This record gives sequence, C-alpha cells and structure tokens, in this order.
Amino acid sequence: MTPLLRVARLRKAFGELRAVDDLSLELLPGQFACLIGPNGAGKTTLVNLLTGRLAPDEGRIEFEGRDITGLAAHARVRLGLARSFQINSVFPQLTVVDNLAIPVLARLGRSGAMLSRIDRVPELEREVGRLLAEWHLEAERARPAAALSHGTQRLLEIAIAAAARPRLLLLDEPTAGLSPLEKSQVLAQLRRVAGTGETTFVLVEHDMDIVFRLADRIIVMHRGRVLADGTPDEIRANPAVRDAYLGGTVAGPTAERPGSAPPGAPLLTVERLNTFYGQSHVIQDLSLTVRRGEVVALLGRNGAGKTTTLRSVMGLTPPRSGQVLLGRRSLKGLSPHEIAQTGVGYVPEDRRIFRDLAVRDNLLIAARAVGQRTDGDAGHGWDLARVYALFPDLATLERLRGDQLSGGQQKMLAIGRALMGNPQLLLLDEPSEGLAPAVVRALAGVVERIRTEGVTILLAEQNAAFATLLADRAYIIENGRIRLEASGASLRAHPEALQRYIAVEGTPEAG
Amino acid sequence: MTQTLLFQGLVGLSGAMSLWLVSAGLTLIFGVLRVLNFAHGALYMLGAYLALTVVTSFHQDFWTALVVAALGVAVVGVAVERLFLRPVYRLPVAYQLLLTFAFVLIFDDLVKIVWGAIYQVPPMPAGLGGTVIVLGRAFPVYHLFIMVAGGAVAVGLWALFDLSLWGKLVRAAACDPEMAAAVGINVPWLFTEVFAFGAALAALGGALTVPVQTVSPGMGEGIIIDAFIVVVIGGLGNLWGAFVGALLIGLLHAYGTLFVPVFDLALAFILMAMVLIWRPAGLFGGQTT
Repeated sequence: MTPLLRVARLRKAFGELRAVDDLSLELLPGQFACLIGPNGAGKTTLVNLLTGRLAPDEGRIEFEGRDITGLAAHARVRLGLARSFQINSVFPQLTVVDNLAIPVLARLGRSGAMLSRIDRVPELEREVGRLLAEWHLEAERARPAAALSHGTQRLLEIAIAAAARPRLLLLDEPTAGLSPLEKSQVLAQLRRVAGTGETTFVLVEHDMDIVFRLADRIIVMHRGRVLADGTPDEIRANPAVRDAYLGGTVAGPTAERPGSAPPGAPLLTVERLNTFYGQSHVIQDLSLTVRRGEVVALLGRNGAGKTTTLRSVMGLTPPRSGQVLLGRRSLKGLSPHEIAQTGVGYVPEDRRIFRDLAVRDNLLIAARAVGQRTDGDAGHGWDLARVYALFPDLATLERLRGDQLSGGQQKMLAIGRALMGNPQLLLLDEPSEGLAPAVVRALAGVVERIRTEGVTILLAEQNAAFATLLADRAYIIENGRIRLEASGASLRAHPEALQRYIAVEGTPEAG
Repeated sequence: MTQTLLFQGLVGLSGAMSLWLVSAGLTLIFGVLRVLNFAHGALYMLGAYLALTVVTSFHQDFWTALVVAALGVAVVGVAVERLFLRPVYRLPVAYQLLLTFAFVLIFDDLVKIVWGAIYQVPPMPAGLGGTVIVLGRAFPVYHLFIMVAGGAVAVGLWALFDLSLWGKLVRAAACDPEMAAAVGINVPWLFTEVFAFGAALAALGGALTVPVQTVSPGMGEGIIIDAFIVVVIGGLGNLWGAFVGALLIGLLHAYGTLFVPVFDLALAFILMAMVLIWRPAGLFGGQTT
C-alpha cells in the first residue's frame, strides 16, 4: 500500500529550541493513529508543519506520493489534508443539520444553494443525512448546537471537519476539557467512523487509557523526535517510553502526605459569596476558608463554578454580595491589581501568557507590578533565580516569546509569573488540565514544593486524583454551591465518596 | 533628473517624519487602548497653538515651547482619558468615534475662542533658519531638523517599548489587560499614561511644524486623515507599521506633487486601497507593537 503521508527528516527550530528534530514517519490509509508525547514534545508543531501553518527548516512532506512541502495551507486542504481546531467552529444558534449543511455545500461547490431549503437539494440532503447517521447525531438533528452537551458539541465539530471528506484529518486534542466519560464516548465514535469511511484520522491526545484502548498505532514524540512507534502493546512494553512519558523517573510527591500541616490562622475567608454573569446566578451563598500553609482543593465538574469562585476572589468577576477576607483585610471593592498587590497570585486555566513578551519579561513585569506592596509584608522573596530553580526548563527558554512555548511550558510560566508577585495565597485554576501524566506528576511535586516554601494554595480541579493527592482539605462544588467539605486524608481513603460529584455519568451537562 | 528625484525624496522624508510623530501616537493609543482617537488631530493643533503662544506671547525660546506643548497637551490627554474616554471603553466602537469626533469640534471652537480665527504667522527658531546646499539646491535647514527629530523619536520609542520595563508593562496590558491586572498592573492608570504619551507625541508633531506652517483652527483635520491612512497601511496598533506607512505616504506626496500634481490628493487613498486588497490587516497587521 502506498503511504498516505510520508514525512522525511523534518526539522523546525524556534531559536534555540528544536521543536521538531529530524523526524521521519509514514502513515497508511485507514489506520487509526494517535500521536502522544509529553508537553513540549513538538506534537502541535508537527501538526502545524503538516497542515502548512508553519514552514519547516528542512525536510520533506509527501501526501499521496506528491511533494507538498512548499504548498500553502489552503492548497493542502484542497488536496484533502485538513485539521480540526481546538477552538469552536460550530455556529451555536444554528441547528445540527444547518451546521453540517454549510461545509457540505462548500464541498459540493453549491454555495448558491444556500438560499434554498435543505430538502430541496437532494444531494445535500443525502450527504447531511449520511453524516448524521455516521456520527449518531440523528436524535439531535433539530437542536441548536448551543443546546448540546459538551461531548456532543465536540462530536459535531469533528463531524463538520469530516464533512469536507478529507483524505487525512488531523485532530489536535479534540477532547480537551471533556470529562473522562465524555472523552471515551467521543473517541469511541471517532474510532467507529474511522473504521468505515474514506477519511484517515490522526489524533493528538493526552489521555493514555483511551489512547491505549482505541489506537491501531501509537506514535510517541519526545523532544521533537519519534521516540517509539508501534501498536499499543509494543508501546506499553517499550522501556524508553516508560521513562520519558509514563514518568518512571520523575519524582512525584510521596504517596502519603507528610502529615497535615499545623493549621494556621485563616488566610482566605469567603463568606456567603454570590456572583452573577448577567442574569445567571453562578455562585450561590458560597463560603470557604483556607488556612495559612494549607493546600485546599475546590473540586467539581466543568461549569460547577470553580473558575468563577477564583475569579471572584481575584476581583476579576466582582461578587454581587458576600465577604472576601485575606487575613483580616477585606478584598471587597478592590480592583484586581490591588488584590494582586495585597498578596494573591492567580494562575488561570488557559494560562494567558503575555505572548509577545519573552519568558524572562513575563516574569519580571509580574515582579515589578507588585513592586510597591501595600500590606507591608515582604513576602517570601521570590525572584528569577528561585523560579528558575523550580522550573529549570524556563531558564533555558528565557529568551523565547510566550507564544513560542508549548502548552505545558506556558503552564509553568503562568505559575512562575504568579510566584514572582510574592503571593501569600496562590489561586491555581485547573493546573493539571491538558497535561501529560508525567507532567501532572511533576506538577504535583512543584505544588508541594511551593507549599513548603510558605505559599498557601487554593486549587480548582476536575481531576480528583490529582487534587486529593495534594490537598489537606477539599470542598466539593456543584451548581455554584459547596456540597461537601472533607479532609484530604478521608478522600484518599474513600475516593468513591467523590464519585457522585466528580464522575460525570448520568445527565450530560448543558453547554 | 536623478538629482531632482533624490532632492524630492528628501522633501518627502521630512514630510514623512512629521506625519510619523502624529501617526505614532495614534497607533499606540489604538494598540493599547483599542480606541480610534479622532481627536488626535485636534491634539496636534493644540500642541501647535501652545508652542506658538509660548514663543510669541511669553517670549521663550523654541525648545521651551516644544516641552511646554508636549507636557500641556499630555495634561489635556489625562483629563480627556480619565473623564470621558474611560466610560466608553466597553461600548461599541461607534461611541468612541462619536466622542472623539466631538472633541475635534470642541477643540476647534475652543481654539477660535482663545486664539481667534486669525491665521498666525510663526517665527523661525534661532539657528534652524536658512538653507543648506544639498544636491546642488537650497534645502531648508529646518526640514533636516525635522528629519533628525523624527528619527530620534523612532529610536526613543524603540528603546522605550523594547528595553524599558514601562514599555513591557504597556505591551503586557495591550496583550491581555485582564491578566495584566491580575498580576498587579494598575491597568487603568497605565491606559491614562499611554493616552497622555500619545497626546504628547501629537503635540510635539504640531509644535515642530509651527515654524514652517501656518497655525490655524482646523489644521488638525488635514493631518488626521493622512495619519489614519498611515496607520491603516502599517497595520492598526503597530508602531513600526506606522513608521513605514509614514515614509510611504510622505514620499508618495513628494513625488505625487512632482509628477501628477492634479491627482496628488487621491494617491494616498489609492495606495491604501491597494495595500488593503493585498494585506487586509495592513503591512504589519496582526503583530502587536
């Protein structure tokens, strides 16, 4: 069989960083291949090189036997090499049928038919019907996309990308942000479609369980190279992969937490907090306490109100009522920069690195911004050297611009940036989201170290395993209310107690 | 012929540099505050009037006049931003345009009330008058001075935004204002400072033209159109784009008057249209400062 895609000796460097380094691989049609690798391994760069968003420094890309190395992105799409984006490509107000009709019309070259009803254009109706059947979306056909559950929305997005009937569709973390259950549902569907259609899918994915269950072939990337390539069984048995990816060598925190820290005085006190987005009452009478020296987890599903709680504390989404105290000082009515200067550091879920500033400048301006501290507390003296000691990678990357970092590196930078402000309290929003397992383990070690260096931490997480590993105490949040408070030790002893709140079986959540 | 072309190029460069001063402030304000400041031409005019007054009524030298004009208009900028612009940031862009356009009218009339509608005759600063022989022709020394001043401002802005910590704070706030606030940057104040700084650049541009241009109400309207063209060609919010755009427009005017004088006014618009067809976001669009 002629390979669908052949990549030979591909290289791409960003300054010092060799994102893709002498990489070669072949892909056969019909294979369900997954591309995995630790954060910063070069997966996204490879996808960008294949789709033509980036030009390689060296090497050759062949698609169906034809050299496409110099071809522009849109020309590659026309040949049938497409990607789906992580960003939403659905029109939320349109129904599922209409969302699917648009790419089909574009493919059929019948944009003029936009003006007629779908059932008047037989080939359109046939094709949309086929897509609905293929992706098991018939039951949802008349619902607006906005009303679908997260998982179904993601399926619709993939279906839209597949509607153009590309020969090869690259999916870069199509299940990011979904619960484990939704993830496996989406990927099982994808796997089924991949077995039937003329489209070959290549998936970039983090969830190892799912990858090992579904893939025909797994390509492991590490430091810009292919570390291993084979069937799931071969990969599982590969010692190099174990070391690099599954994380044998990365020191995690000890399984047993070193006795709960002596409870200090309350550092953060939140009392009867109520926060609204427009008319919707997102946080309802929420109260919680974080004591000095503690790691406290706020656990809940997507949309439970975790991010909004942190944003309310930070002053980014000011609460309508309630009390927020840092030590004895009320944060109410303060603007975010004043709250930051009072000693609260914020690490948002989506990292939000200042993308056109160098790594070093991202860190320096954060230190400068809180230069004049208002609480008279000298803080814990975080500086560049200490942040680099915590994240040695950042030291080697310090001249790169924020947008040249991988997702995992950006996450480290976001944490480092918050530390540069010498916070007494660190708000971490979903630190483990989207990270490879080994990186998550390393991150747990980092969080532990930050705590031992005297920073109190409030952590919002969906990943109960990660959070309970670290937390002295946890609050379970659901629909904007605290449902349960438990010690970390009891959650580690009875993880099943969390099932009801965290596992996402049952009703799919609203978009 | 070659000499004529080169000479005309010099004329174009000096025109380009005064345009650059105005465009720099305009694109900076847009890049950071996301406000299209129609009143920028009025601030330019205000700078010219202030400089003129310092020289003619207070008998100070030209250098003092430049400083007073820049600082005075910066203060006006602080007031305009804090009192009027701040409430409209969250509103659709049309409100910003209406508000800043209102300031054009208000400043024009204020100038008429304070200085009268008469056309002021500007004096030439000592040492910058006269001409030098360049390429066999007489070239005004003052135009050479403007070219140097424009170049100096370009170097200064590069140093400010690429090297200084203040410049990096501004870039961070331009990139993601909410996250900038969350790391402790006082973003509202920073916005005020940037607006005042942009206003001072406009005033400097106005004050620098005083010795070679008639100062009159409405002088801002002419330059703001060209400055908008420059900023759009360069890419909204991009300083280096504005620099290149100003050079293009300055040279285009210089050669336009030489070759197709009847068509000169349209040339800048034609160039803008062509650039936008080729690169809809402007030459350097999509990149930040």
